[in-house]
Amino acid sequence: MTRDRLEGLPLSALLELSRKENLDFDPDASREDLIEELLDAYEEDQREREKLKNLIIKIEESKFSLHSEDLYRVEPDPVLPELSESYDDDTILLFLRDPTWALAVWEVRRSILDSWAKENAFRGFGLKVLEKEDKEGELVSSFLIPLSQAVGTRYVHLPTAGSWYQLELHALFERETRFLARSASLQAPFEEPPYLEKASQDAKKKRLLELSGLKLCEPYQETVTEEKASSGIPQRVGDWDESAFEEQA
Amino acid sequence: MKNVEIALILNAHLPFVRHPEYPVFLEERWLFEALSETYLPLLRVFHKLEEEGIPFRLTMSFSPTLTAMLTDPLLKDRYRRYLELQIELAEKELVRTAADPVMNKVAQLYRRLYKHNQGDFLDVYQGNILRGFSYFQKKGYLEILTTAATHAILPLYQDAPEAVTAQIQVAIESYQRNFSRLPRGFWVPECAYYPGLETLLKRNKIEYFFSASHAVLLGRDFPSRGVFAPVALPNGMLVFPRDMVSTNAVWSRDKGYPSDPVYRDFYRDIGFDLDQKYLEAYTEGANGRFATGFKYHAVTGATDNKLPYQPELATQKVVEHAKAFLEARLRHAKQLSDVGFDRVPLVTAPFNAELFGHWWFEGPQWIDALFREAVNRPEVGFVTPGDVLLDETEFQKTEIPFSSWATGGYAEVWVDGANDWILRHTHQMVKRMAELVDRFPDIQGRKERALNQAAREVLLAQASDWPLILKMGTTVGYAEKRVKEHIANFNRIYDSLSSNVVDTEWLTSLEKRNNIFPFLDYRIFRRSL
Repeated sequence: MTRDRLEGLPLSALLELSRKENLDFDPDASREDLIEELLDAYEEDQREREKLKNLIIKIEESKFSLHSEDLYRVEPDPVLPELSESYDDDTILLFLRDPTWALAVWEVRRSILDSWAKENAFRGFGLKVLEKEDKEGELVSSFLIPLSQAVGTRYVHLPTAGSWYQLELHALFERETRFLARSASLQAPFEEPPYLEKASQDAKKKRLLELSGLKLCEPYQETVTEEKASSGIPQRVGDWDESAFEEQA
Repeated sequence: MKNVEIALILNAHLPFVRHPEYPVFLEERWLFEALSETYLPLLRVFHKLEEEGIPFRLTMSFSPTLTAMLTDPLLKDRYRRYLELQIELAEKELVRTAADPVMNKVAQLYRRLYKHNQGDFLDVYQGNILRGFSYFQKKGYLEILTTAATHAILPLYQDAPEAVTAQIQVAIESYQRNFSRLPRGFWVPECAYYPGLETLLKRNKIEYFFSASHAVLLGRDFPSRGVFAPVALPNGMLVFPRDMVSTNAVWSRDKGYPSDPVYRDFYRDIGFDLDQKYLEAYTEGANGRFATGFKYHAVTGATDNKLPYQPELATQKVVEHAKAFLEARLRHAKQLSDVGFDRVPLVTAPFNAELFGHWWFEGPQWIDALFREAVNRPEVGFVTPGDVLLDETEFQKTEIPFSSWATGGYAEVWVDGANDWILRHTHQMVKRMAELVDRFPDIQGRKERALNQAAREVLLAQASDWPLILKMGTTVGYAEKRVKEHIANFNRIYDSLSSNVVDTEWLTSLEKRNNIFPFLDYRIFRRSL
């Protein structure tokens, strides 16, 4: 949303946008002040969004363009249903994101939390990351990540691409840990299989990989900047970057 | 003797967007635009090729959400209304541009397009374009595949095989109802594969699917034929890897054919250029501005001063680009033979269908030109995966890793700070759905209806489109609302069944609104043993 675009909107639309942004707007303030406040709010939103992405994974920008919501459509806020934060279940879920990062999603039953919270020795919860040779195989290594919340999500770094991983949720006490739940075992993909290095010394194999476009593949693609992404090809109907329309107009 | 074989794959998919509760709903235009600019123009290309005896062969996948919308009476009726309005706007545009012969020519083009669409949609296909695609499949020009029921990212449910099985089986059932046969191939949504998926696909009689290039190039064994032949997984399932070089020629953001200066620009639209008052009647009460489909400018280059669009120049360029594509494939085949490639290379070139026509306006013309140009090049053949299965029996055996064709090559798009909150809920829905099947193994009447609707809500919440939109940051409000509504609907049914009180009025209204997969039986979510 650009300054020009905001300046072109009627006051009612600006007030609607300020309501969407939860801005406390003085009804006596000028239209210019309202535009300034909105621009500040959008900038802050963008910074928050970038911060979130960078904290979680430091990977390339997506070819799917990243932009603020299409604010040009001034419509009443949809009424969003309230969802419960947890389902009162002892669960740990593991989702692979890429060869080196995974997402953990966990929760602990309220009744357990309440009863343990009364124990002096209770120290909180822990996520045990198990690295294994194969699905049912020997444990290669493990490490514990302390958790401050009974319900949450967290991105976990997987030390070795190609290994199998499983997560365990434990309650931590002063002198013991109590097992709560276990995730499925999942194999992180190899970043580069061992034969690639050998193939690079064999001219024919090396050429075959080149002709197969190995270096064009998604994991090898250069970082896509936001500027580039905005001029990219939409992946689906409706995936276009609305702000580009406005700029053109 | 062929020097190269090309398998052109078009994946047609849109999320289920249908809102009978509103007289007009802006996001339903996603379907109407795809119908107008991609699906109907493609059918016209196929008919013309058939009439003129030009051989053509390609593969298309239709997602079950898309086929549900294409056969829905309400959406058909709304599309009819949309066409009427577009034709009315085209007439008005002819008057507005009368003094400018270049612009007026483009306005005439749009009038022809929407008139053709109206005639084809209402008269030729009687409101059901799947008949057209089915016809070409029966005639042997087209191989039609299915994909996961709501285009879910299957690796995110690998620890819940009942969820993946439900996505596969509902898709097959939907396919059978629309195309009167069983699919042989499966478009794995976003080529997102995880080891073990092939077991569930094979159990459902699927013979092949497609993968990202790096799935095969970074697989267990050195790929002895690169990406130019399918590989077999240990259970015999065939995998066709995408060829990045050929798909980049079309899809590259900087250098792809659609970025040529003479092609029609996608972004510049009268919806943003003209006075809102002029367009009022065509926005049907929607606030603000949006694209109308009437675009008068060419890509031109990296400038805001776009030149007028000249369709005849674009038509010439399309032929040049079709020739260039085929010549590049032949050169590539020659380079492969120079390194001792031991068979006719197979180039698997998959695209999202809506790229052709919707984004790249001349895309359907390019497909037409491709087949016409191939007539003069007998060394180029067009095949479908089914043809490859008939002709060959020996494939390299290997294993491939978790992978996708999206940014980064894995699940970065769908497991992201912007959308990862969804996964807790969708997994809980699957778990609770399986629990409901255990509790009510053979229920009938109102409770069965509630359970079937619960199963619909699970599938709809798993759609890959909403997290993708949340990640991209476009129409975020709608995507968030959709996911939350499906979760809330499911939870309400779950709670109702727990307390033994089902609100019939609410259930009936929900069944009418989210009416996808009327054949669905909730027992499909039975836990795998």
